[in-house]
Formats: sequence, structure tokens, C-alpha cells
Amino acid sequence: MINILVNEWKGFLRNKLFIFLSLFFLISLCGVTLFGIIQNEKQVETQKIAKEHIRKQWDEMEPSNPHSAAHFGSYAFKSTSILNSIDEGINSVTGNVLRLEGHKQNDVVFSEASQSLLISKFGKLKPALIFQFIIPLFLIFFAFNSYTSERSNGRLKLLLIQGASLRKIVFSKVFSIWVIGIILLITSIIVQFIFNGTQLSSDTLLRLMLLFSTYAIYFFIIVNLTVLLSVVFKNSTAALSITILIWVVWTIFLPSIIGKTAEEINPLPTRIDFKESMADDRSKGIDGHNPRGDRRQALEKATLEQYNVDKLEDLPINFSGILMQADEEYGNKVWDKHFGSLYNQLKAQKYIYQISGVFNPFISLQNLSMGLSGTDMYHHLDFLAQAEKYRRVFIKSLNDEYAFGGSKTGQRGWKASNDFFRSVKEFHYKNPTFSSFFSKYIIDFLILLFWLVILSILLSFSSRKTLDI
Amino acid sequence: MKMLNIFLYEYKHFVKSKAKLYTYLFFLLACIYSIYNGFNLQENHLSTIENVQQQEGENISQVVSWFKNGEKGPKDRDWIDVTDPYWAMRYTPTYIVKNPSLLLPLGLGQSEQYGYYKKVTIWSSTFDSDIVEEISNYERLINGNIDFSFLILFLLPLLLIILTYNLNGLEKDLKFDNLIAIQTGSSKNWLFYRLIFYTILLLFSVNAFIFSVVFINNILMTDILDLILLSNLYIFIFVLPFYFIIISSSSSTSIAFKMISMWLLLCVLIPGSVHQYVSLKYPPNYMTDFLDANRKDTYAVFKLPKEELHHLLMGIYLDLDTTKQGQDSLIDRTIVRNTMSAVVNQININAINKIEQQNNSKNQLIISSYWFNPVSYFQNEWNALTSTDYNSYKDYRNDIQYAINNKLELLAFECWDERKVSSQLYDKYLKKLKSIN
Amino acid sequence: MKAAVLIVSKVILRLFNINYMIKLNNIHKSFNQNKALDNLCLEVKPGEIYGLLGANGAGKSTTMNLLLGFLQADSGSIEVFDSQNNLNNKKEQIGYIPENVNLYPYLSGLENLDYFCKIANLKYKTEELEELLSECGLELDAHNKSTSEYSKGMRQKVGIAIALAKDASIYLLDEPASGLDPLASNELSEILKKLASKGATILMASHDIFRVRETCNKIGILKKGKLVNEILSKDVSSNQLEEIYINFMKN
Repeated sequence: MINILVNEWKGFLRNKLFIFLSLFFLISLCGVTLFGIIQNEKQVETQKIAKEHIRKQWDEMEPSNPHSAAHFGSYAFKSTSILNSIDEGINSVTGNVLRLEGHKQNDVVFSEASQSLLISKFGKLKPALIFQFIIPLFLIFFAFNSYTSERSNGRLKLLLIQGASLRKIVFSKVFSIWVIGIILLITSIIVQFIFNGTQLSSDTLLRLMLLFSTYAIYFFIIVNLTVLLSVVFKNSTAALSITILIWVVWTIFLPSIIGKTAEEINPLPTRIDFKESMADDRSKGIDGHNPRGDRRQALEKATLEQYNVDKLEDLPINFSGILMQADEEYGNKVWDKHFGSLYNQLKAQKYIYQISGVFNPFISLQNLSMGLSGTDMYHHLDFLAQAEKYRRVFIKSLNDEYAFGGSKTGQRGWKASNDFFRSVKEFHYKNPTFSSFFSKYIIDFLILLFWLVILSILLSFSSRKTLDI
Repeated sequence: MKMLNIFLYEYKHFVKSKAKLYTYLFFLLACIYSIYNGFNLQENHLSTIENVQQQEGENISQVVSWFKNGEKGPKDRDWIDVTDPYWAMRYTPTYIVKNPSLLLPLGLGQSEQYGYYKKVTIWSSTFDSDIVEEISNYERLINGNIDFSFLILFLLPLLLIILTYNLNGLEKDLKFDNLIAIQTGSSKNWLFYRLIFYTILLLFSVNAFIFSVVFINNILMTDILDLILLSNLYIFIFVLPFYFIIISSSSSTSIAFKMISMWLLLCVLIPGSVHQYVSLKYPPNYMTDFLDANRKDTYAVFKLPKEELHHLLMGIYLDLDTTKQGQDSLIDRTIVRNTMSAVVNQININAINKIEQQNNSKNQLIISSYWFNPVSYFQNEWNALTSTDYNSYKDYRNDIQYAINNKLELLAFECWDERKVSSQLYDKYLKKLKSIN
Repeated sequence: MKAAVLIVSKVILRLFNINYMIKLNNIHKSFNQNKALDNLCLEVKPGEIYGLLGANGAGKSTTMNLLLGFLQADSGSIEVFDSQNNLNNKKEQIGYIPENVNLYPYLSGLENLDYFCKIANLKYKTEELEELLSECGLELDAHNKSTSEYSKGMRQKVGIAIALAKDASIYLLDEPASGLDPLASNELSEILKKLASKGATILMASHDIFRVRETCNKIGILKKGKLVNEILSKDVSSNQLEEIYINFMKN
């Protein structure tokens, strides 16, 4: 088997077109990976500036009422992971800025895609684009040619007569072409190491390793499928058209169709309906700015009882802060309910999408590539969850300062000091480790492995049966 | 005569190669599906807009009923008084919507990146978070929609490849190209006519679909001409190089390889590189200018003394000095503060202009790549025709800005004139605020 | 100039009462550094079946391709005449049967013939085409079967029908009998003889000594791009021809 493999490679290295294309891909991959890293660094830099700019305003806040500071609020910027340079995932269509303020949970706004005319349909030229769209096609052509040319000029018979089994020949072909993909993958990873080396944490290393395996498996699937089809279809043009057709359906057509179907099975509310029903639920709670209302009366009563006084003015604390916080907590419950069901819908959609990998391994590849690069929906939801968690702590600290910071009920003009504002912690997004998400992606891994096994069995089987070459 | 014969036989070639025939039929089905999808989205937009307008109507009839019943506002909020222009207008948000183009079913473009309805209050701006895109699955967004423009711009060239990669390829693979050459004299003409057959087939199919939308949506023929021209021209962008690939290649594998490489180059690699370059040059904007305007600068305005605000407002609306308040030597704090959103609006406008300029230079960069990046050109032109491109939404933002300005100006003059709103005056307000639509 | 040559050649032809259908004068053709044809001169008279014998690489296919116009000679001239003795190098008057006749596999024999006629601007009725196919020995029930089911000999017959349909005055055949069974090969000989008797000129390249002697009137032996001998087949038996051929090849 090794002999056949070596011989294959001798052949490749004498093929000018092969050498030319491989060099072209090697060089462009180095360039693309490098540009990805540079662009990422630039984005991180821009974000850092924006973040510091916003924080400076907070730190310079004059002594003011904590509640108006809550309205003044803060901003969370969606941070980019290091591996964003490999696969950008959904980052160009999600918003980048989230306003964090009292009473109100905002949307992430200002997506990159909304800031210019449309440029590319398949995303920026990043390693993921090359590995998902271009290399497989390149492998298809070489795998196809490698087998059919062997058959059409009769060499295959010669090899068989010399005692090699067809299965061995066929799998050597698959491996020899698969190695091309592996070399390209390794190149990209090496460039990552050279230019990004200092920032590679153990989590990033794990992600990179898994990314490598994912793509390696997918390449094997593609090469395997191509050789399988050319073994099965005696007519080589038919084999080629079917392979290309499968490629088109897998990579271009099915992802959108399935995405759309998943959205139809688990529909999302329109923004206006969603807001309305949230506002509806919200209005049933306490309105911190409305002095009337039953719930407010109840809270007043409870607080008076707790401190054992008769009038709000006699409270040792500022009731307004308590009220704001109660209002806040009610809002949080409403948020949890509505966003919880929204996210559940999104997760249900994602699940359908993942399962559809059974028909289309490209989908599993895409999911894993985004997930491992930290740029998929789960990572986005994690950002939103962390930001909302921070918002609650942030607003609570302001309300607490209002309630217990030394003012009494009715002292509207009371101001918290600048030192207090400075002491409020900044939002810091902690990139989640992959292991914390692992369970969500097992299904994608399994599906890819399933394809790998099934195609290998089919190839093995068909190369045993095909005696009439 | 000869051409007709080649066409008639090409039809035979076509229907007898089952792979080609089924791929073509599959493409037609996809077209029907995409247009159906497009109509669905149009329907959704229209019904949401209807919903929004209904809400607007409810708001208005609520205020009208207060006037009728001699009430001043909601019963549990006694500080509200709709006979004051400030409260009358606060309770009458104007909704500005972007009606979907009749051509929307043919191309969804960037419509999923933006919102299409906006509640305009006296504090609104064109980058508020309520004009962001509809709630959607981001992972679906990056895979894009199967809309008609996607099918034509990206899948149709692939279909053309499958239909034509073995023209001359089959003959060369089976080595009877010499025999053909002996028969035809010049095989170039023969190949040209064969390719033209498929070109006509595709042109006919594409135009038929476009016309179907014309009939369903009752669109004027003249409005559709550009789209027909654009889509037909696009097909030739591929047909011409394909012709040269066909006549110069040695086997169907080589033809297929070259054609697919060309598709990858035009549809994936070049746009992808431009995209990467653009975002290197203009990283995603975190809109700090707007954030500052919206927060820091707005808060600064809140803290201004009434004299300062009075002065700023007079600077914005020069004719304010003819109003009651303008001529009064005593400054009324409530009136001035009720109209100070006009000052904030000016700050917003300045910040937004900066952002729009940045976006504009980004777009200029994209436009300057068109000469080697034709697919992006066709994409954006197509989106412009279905009014779903960046510029259409920019126009929509301009409409919103106009509505905001309109509202704030009316607010300022009515408040400064210290009017008492009656149901007739309220009607006048409504007419004036709606003047844009 | 061209007209002058034409008139002169016509006059010469008439004068000596010899007319040629094909005439190659001092042809040189090299591929890279390899000489494929070296000062080749060859003449084929009307009604003659001329067989070119030679080893692989002797230049048979190059000669064919030059006559078909797929290659250009480095030097020398090629003259192809029509039945009126006019110099006419157009492909229209040449019928060609390649070594391996391949056809559109998904079309029937009849449809293939029809298509090849149509792209050559030839107008035939379906009955005429059927007749032609039968004439070339293709069984009637095979006419409408898809050619993917045809044997090599059956495809060859369609190929001959395509060539015949052109009603050409010259037929070029490149290894026409290779891979045919003896019966089919014999049928081919008969068809060619019939054609020649009607006045067609036939040039065939082959390395089948027996078949060439059976079919051709005149035989030329090509070696390394040179015509080393010409023999009339009536003068030799097959065995003698083989002897002569082998002697030439060895020296």
C-alpha cells in the first residue's frame, strides 16, 4: 500500500498543473491566514479604543444620582475571539454594541453587514472559506482524475494482475489525495502559530487541534466519495457531474434550504410582536417611575414593616432605590421568560440544522468550524448572557447605592460620589472554554464520523465487487 | 438553416442526457420556491406594516377620544395634559415604514440586515435600536436566503457549467472530435450555436420567471426592463469565457475544472478578498460618535441651564423669535425643556453624518472594486432595483430623519407659541406630521 | 499566382492524361526535434484504393492529419483535387473514417447519422439514411437502438455511412480494420471496393498487411517518414508482401 502511495505522489510531483495549483493554494493560504490575523488584531484594537473611550466617560462622571447613572448606563462590545481569524462565523451579521442600562434590555446593534453595500455572499476570504469551498473542489478533481485515468488507460488491470487488490489501490488513491488536504491544513495552522503564537492558550490549542481534525475528516469524506462514485459509475463524465452536483447541493443549496425550513418549523416572533408582549408583561409589574399602582403599595408596606416604621420618610434608607431594584427584578423575570423562549426557539432551530448533517456533512463541518472558532450562535448567546448578567449586577450596585448609600427617602437631589462610580466594575467578557460547550457539538462530530465510516465501508464494498473494470 | 438544425438536435442532446435535464428541472423548481419565498416575505412585511399602522391608528384614536370626552390623558397619570402641544405630540408617535418594493419577490438583498418600520418620537434618531433587523437566526443569515437573485447570480452559472461542460468535451473524450471537424468545416461555429442553445434556454427561463412576478404584482413593463437587462447581461458574463474554455480545452474534465475555477474566482474568491480588504481598511464601526451623542452629549444637554437651552433653540429655529415665548423676556423652563430634544437631534445628526460618511467611503471602496469584481456589482445593482440595497435603506433613514425634524420643528413652534390643543388643531398636527408619506 | 498554378497544373494533367486526386509534394513535418515526415511524396489516382503500410510512428497518422487539415506541413505542398480536376483543399469533399468510431452514446445509429449529416449541411430524408445504413451493413433492427449498445464494428458501419453520406470523392481511413472481427473486416473491404468502382479515391493507413493486400490496388511502405517502396497488390501475394515489408523495416 505504501508503495502505491509513494508512486501516486511521484506522479503528482511530475504533474505541472498539480504543482502549480498546490503552490498557489499554499501561498494564498499563508496570505489569507496572515490577513485574517491582522484584520482580527485591528478589530480588537478598534474595540479596545471604543471600550476605553466609554469607560473614561464613566470614570469621569460627576457626582450624580445613582439612578440617573443607571439611565446613563454602559456599553458592552462584542469581543472577537482569536480564532475569528480562521472562521468569522456569524460575527459580521450580529450587532457589535449592546447598551446596558436600567429598566431596559436592549438589542445588540450596528452589525458590520449593515454598514456597507453587499460584498460577498459567502463571507470574507478567510481560511475557513478556502477550506470549506475551494479545497474540497480541488480534491474532487484530483481524486476523480487519479482513478478514472488509471482505469481508462488500462493501468488498473496491470496493477491488479501484479497482485495488488483493488481495495488497496483504491484506498491508496484516497489517502494519497487526502494528504494534499492535510498538508494545506498544516500550513495554515503553522502560520497561525508563527503569527499568533503568544496568544495561544490551552483552550485555543484544543480548539485548533479539533478544527484540524474536523477538516481532515471532511476532506477524507470528500475524497472518499469522489473515488467511490468513480468506481461505481463506469462512465467517468457521469461520475464527475454527479460529484459536482453533490458538491453544489451540499455547500450552496442545502444550508440555506435547511436553515429556512428550521425557521419555519420553529418560527420566531416579529420584533414588534416580541416587544409588545414583553411590554405587556412588564406593565403588570412595578413601574419605578409611577408613584401609583397596587404592587408599589404592597412593596411600601413590606418595607415599612421590615424597618418597623410608619412613614417612608422615617426609613433609615432610601425607598426609591428599593423600588427601582424591585422594578428591575421584575423586568429581569420578564426578560428571562421572553428571551428564554426566544433562545429556546433558536436552539431548536440549531438542533434541526445539526441533525440535517446526516444528509449533508458540510453542515456538520460548518457548525463545528464556527463553534470551534468561537463564532457561532452558542458563543453569541453566551456573550448576551454574560452581558445581561453583568447588567443586572451593574444596575443592582447602582440601586443599592441609591437605597443604602446614605440617602433617605425623598432626597431626590442626593448624589453618589465619583469614587463610587469608579469602583463599579467594568464589563469584561470571558471567552468560554470549548469544553464547556462540548456537549452541544458532539452530534456534529458523530455525524462526521458516521459519514466517514459509511463511505469507507461503501468504498471497500464496491471495490471488492467491481471485478469487471 | 444550419443553426436551426443544431438547435433542434441540441434539444435532443439535452433531453437525452438525464443528468442535465434533471438538474435544469431542479433549478426551475428552486426558482419557483425562491419566488414563493419572496412573496411570503413581502406578505410578511406588508402585514407587519399593517400591524404597525394599526397601532398608530389606535394611539391616535386614544388621543382623539380624550379630546372628545374632555379628558387630559390617562386617568392614573394626572400630570399628562394633551391640550399641551408637548403631550399631544408625545402621545402621537409617527410610524415611518419602508414599504416593500413590488420587485421584492425577485431579490431580498440586504433587507434582512435592516428594520423597515420605526416609531418616531421626539427623542428618536436614525440609528436607534428599534430600526435594527428583525429577530432572526444569525446562522441562517450567513447562509443567506434562497432568493431569486441568489439563484441567478450564483447557481445559474453552476447550472450553465453542468449543461455545457461536455460540449466538445464528450467528443474529445471519445475521440470523435476529428470526425466532427471534418463534417462541420469549422467546429467553432458548431460549438457556438450549441452554447447559444443553452444560453437561450436560460435567458428564456429567467425572463419567464421575472415576467411571472410582473403579472402577479401588476408591475409596469418599463419598471422591469432594467432587471431583465441586468440579469441577461450577467448570463453573458459567463457565457463568453465559457465559449473560449470550450473551444480550447482537451477534455470534459478540463472544461469542467476551468469553468468551476472561474465560478469560484468570480463568485467566491474575488468578492471574499474585497470583503476582507474592506474590513481591514474599515474595521467594523463601534459607532462611538453616535454613542457619545446619544449618551454623554445628550446628558450634557439635560444639564444645561434654561437660558443656554433657550439660546441654542433660537439658533436652530431662527423664526422662534416671532413666537410668544420668543418675545417674552421671561424664559419658561418647562417650555424650553419640553423642546430641548431639538438640540439633541442636532447633536445626533452631526454624529450620524460622520458615520454615514465613513460608511460612504467604505462603499466607495467597494464600488471601485467593481471593474474586477463584477459579481458584487451585479448583486448591488440587482438589490438597488428591488430597493433592498444599502442605499435604499439609507434613503429610508433619510425619510425617518425628515420625519424627526418635521416633528421637532412643529413641537418647538407650537410649544413656544403656547398653544392650547383642540381636537381640530390636533387633526392639523396629524396631517402635518404625516406629510412625508 | 494561385490561379496561375491552378491553370498550369490543370494543363499538365490534361497533357499527360494522368490525373491525381491526391498529391503530396516533398512534405516535411517535425514535432519538436522529431521528424515525422521527411520529404514525403505520394500520389493517389482516381478510383484507386491506396494502402499506406508502416510501423507505429512511421508517419501514417501525420499524413492523414495533414490531408484532413488538422496539421500544417512545415514545407512542401498538398494538392487535393475534386472530380472536375480542380484544386480543392476543402474538407467538404473528404470522407473520413477514424480508427475508432465513437458516437453520441445516448443517440441511436440513425440519429447519429442524421446529426452528422445536418451539421455538414447535408439534406437527407430518413428513408435515405436508413438505406445508407443498411448499405453499410448495419442490421435494420439496430438502426433505432442507442449506440451505447453497439459493438465496435456496428459503430464503424455508422462511421462509414457518415462518410458515404457526404458523397465525397475522396475517403481517408485511419486503421479502419483494427479491432474488427474477420467478417466485419471483410465486409469493410467489400464496401470500399464498391466505392472505388464507382470512382471514389481511397487512402487508408494500416499495419494489417493481409487486409491491405486484399483491399488496395496500390500499397506504399512508409518508414521514418519516407515512402520507401510502392507495390501494386496484383503483383504480390500476401506472403511476398510481408517479406518485402519486413525486409524494409529491418534495414
